[in-house]
Amino acid sequence: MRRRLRGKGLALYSLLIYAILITPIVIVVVVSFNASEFVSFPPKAWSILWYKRALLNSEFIRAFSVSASVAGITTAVSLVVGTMASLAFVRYRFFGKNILRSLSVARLAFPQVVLGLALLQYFINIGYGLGVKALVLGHVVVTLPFVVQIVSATLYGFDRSIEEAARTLGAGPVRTFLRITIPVIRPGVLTAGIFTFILSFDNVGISLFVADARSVTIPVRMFLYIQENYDPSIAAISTVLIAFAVVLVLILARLGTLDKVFRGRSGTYR
Amino acid sequence: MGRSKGVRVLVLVLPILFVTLALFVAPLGYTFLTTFYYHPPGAIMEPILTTENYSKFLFDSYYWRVVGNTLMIGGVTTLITLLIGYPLAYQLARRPFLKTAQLVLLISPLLVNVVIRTYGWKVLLSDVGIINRALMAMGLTDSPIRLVNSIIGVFIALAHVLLPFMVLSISSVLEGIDESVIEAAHMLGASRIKAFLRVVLPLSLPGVIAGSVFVFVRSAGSFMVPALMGGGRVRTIPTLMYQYMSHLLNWPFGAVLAFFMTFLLVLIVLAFSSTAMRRQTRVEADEP
Amino acid sequence: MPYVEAAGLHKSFGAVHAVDDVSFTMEKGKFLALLGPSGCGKTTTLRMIAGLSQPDAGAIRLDGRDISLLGPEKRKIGMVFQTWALFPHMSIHENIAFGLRLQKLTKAQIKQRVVEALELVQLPGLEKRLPRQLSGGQQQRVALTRALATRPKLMLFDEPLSNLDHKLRIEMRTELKNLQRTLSLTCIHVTHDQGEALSLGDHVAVMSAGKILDLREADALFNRPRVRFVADFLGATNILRGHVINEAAGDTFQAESGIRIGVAVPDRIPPESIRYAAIRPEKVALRSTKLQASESVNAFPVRIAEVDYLGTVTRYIVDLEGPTGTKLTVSDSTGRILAIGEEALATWTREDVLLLQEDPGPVVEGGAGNGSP
Repeated sequence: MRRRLRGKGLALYSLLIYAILITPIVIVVVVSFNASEFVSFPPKAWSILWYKRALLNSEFIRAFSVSASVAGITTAVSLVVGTMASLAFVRYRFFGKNILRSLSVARLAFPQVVLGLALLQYFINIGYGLGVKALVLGHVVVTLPFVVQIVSATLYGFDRSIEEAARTLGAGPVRTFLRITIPVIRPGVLTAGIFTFILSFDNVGISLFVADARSVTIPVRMFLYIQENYDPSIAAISTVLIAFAVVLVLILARLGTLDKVFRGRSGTYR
Repeated sequence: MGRSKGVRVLVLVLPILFVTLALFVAPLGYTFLTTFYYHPPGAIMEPILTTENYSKFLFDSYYWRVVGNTLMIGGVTTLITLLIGYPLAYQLARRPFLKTAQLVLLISPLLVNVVIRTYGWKVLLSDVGIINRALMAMGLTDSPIRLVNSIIGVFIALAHVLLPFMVLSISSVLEGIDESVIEAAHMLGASRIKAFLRVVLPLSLPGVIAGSVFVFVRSAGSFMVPALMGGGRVRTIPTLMYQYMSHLLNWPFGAVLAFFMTFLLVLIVLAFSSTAMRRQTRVEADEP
Repeated sequence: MPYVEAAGLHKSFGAVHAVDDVSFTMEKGKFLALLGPSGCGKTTTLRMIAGLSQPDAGAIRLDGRDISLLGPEKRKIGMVFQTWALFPHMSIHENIAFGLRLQKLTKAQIKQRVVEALELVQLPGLEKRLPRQLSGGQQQRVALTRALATRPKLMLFDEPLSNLDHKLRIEMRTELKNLQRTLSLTCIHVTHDQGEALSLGDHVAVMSAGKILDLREADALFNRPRVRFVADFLGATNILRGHVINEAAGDTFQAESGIRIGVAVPDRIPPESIRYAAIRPEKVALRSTKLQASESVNAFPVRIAEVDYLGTVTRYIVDLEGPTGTKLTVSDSTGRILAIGEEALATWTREDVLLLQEDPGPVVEGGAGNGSP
């Protein structure tokens, strides 16, 4: 009897925490439907005028397209580089492997403001300049460890004899890679891709320093907007982004790879 | 290793090597270099070597207080997420109901950017927000408690942002604990609490450490949350860095702040991990 | 000219000689089993023949062609893996069609072959299923027929039956043998299971520490092993070290422990090379102590030390009376059960004593071909 109570107690506790976790997000969504200029919860009157205002705001639109293109390019680059690196880490032994791997893992928690600052100075000093190209490089640096983590986790469970079987059935190394290896690791790579896209889209630390006046990303644009304005158009934009995120998580859940995202973590911090 | 294999590995590893060296190690190295650069009034920086940035930092107690504040925020946030998150992680790992739904609830906040989440807390915790109004309605306080623009708001928002990481880190380790180990402890006479304290808790330590390190570094190094929730009252190294880089345009000093914080964080992480590892082996020696 | 030939294969991993000068030949349509404990090099050898591993030295020839430098996809070899290695993201049809597509068959031909392939292993109609929807035994059969569908010249098996439960293993074994006979397949099968090797193989090669110790027809290997390791591995566990002396009464084996056994040295073995005598536990009979020893029978008084009742058979460990301290293992199927401490007479014939050489022995006899020099 006590055991069941304890189990129920834990379950209740968890529900409470989950409620707290999603409360701020829910609040933002509700606030976005506020009719008045002042942010109040609960809203006294409902309207979707802030959505219209937000969508007409050219700065937001522009920031959205910057974020989307940066995220897209970052995802493509990170996936390729990260998958290649994962193949090397999981399947081969080579000089400097541990160091390279540790450096890669260390970046997972490294304070982004520091890196952002460093990249800012660096890009200017070597004459590379800021803007979209700098954003992409900065995002790649930060998202690469995630890709390596996730794809490596997939590769560890990979039964190599299916590649050997393909070889004995007449397929050369390239065909085996394309027809067998890639399709089998595809769920892991897809998960890594989705995660990278979101991380890049939401990135603040690096983007704050490395964007230039013409290419501000959405989170940074929102941050700047909040400094001066208090109307709910921020909430409207936020809700769009939240809906976006929820859809993506549901896709991830469908793929069945939600645990892989963090499974590899705790073993590899050392 | 055969030659073709060596070439293959090289090709696979070259891109990440480039990224690590050219986009991580080199910029950080360069930043370290600029800590010695001269900041002329009115301009950003000049490559004249000087140690005045360091002396400015080291000899002014104000900066030490900021450092202390930053570390304190890191520590407190870690503690909060650990205390709140451990039971949740335990439930998720050992007795989950609707596991996929839980994972969705846990991971989706992570995909919403930090500005949005902090904004939500701002609305919730503001002087005219629902929390304060409820507290006043219940008669617990006469005037609104300052939650936004204070360090409490910062703690709440940071803990909210970082909780899923702590939970996932701990739960993934807890999941790996074999049920029969706990059963064996019961058979040897341990009560549920004893079994938890002496068997489960020590075994979950790697996840606790990994999660704590992650949360500590992320919260100490957080810019956005103190900037939005602190309202200028909460000074941390990252917010100070931003000031010096964007508004005061004193890049060398900003670099000193950046470098120093990294240095401190690395030290603390290393110290934390090694003592924790020693504790773990001691616990393992205690168990028969 | 032999159909399959391996000559002087060497493979080292660091300081370890996984495969140490292995050579053998095979005729077409024959089944060769590579038998040995784990780590003996049998799997490495198989993988070199498949082309999945490069030998440090040596050559491999198949049907007159030197395939040593060819990649596995060009060798026209089929292989069945221990984990069966079905492509998890493809249907059964796709799995079997994979190799056929690479042979540039038409769609119609492929469809036909897939149907035939599935009928061959009694799994009709499973084309659209995915591997994970099949049982272990079914997956194993699909793996087999997938390899056979490409009509390879040589079939290689890497312990494919070890992941099956016991009963299924025996079933599959019989099916495999029948299939091989019907289709006249040339097969090399790696296993650590003695029963499997002896029942499947026309010829069996016993390997240890990278070398082939003996390669002969299955029954010859079992009944007339040449070297100590092979005899021991195949169950003749009563082994005595010593040498042969010629007495007036006939050939005698003088064991180092002191006892003397009557033996019959076969013509093919030079007496000076004999270092061991071995008797199978099944060949030792426990009689009442009242019988007398006669000239052609070895008889030694013994005392029962341990009894292990296994149902159809009772295993005893007995101590030889006297100062030699020799112990024998006896496998008795008469149904009597003797008690610990009881006395009996252990008897066996001269002919039942296997006379063995030191490992590794010299050349391999008849049948399958040449061994290492």
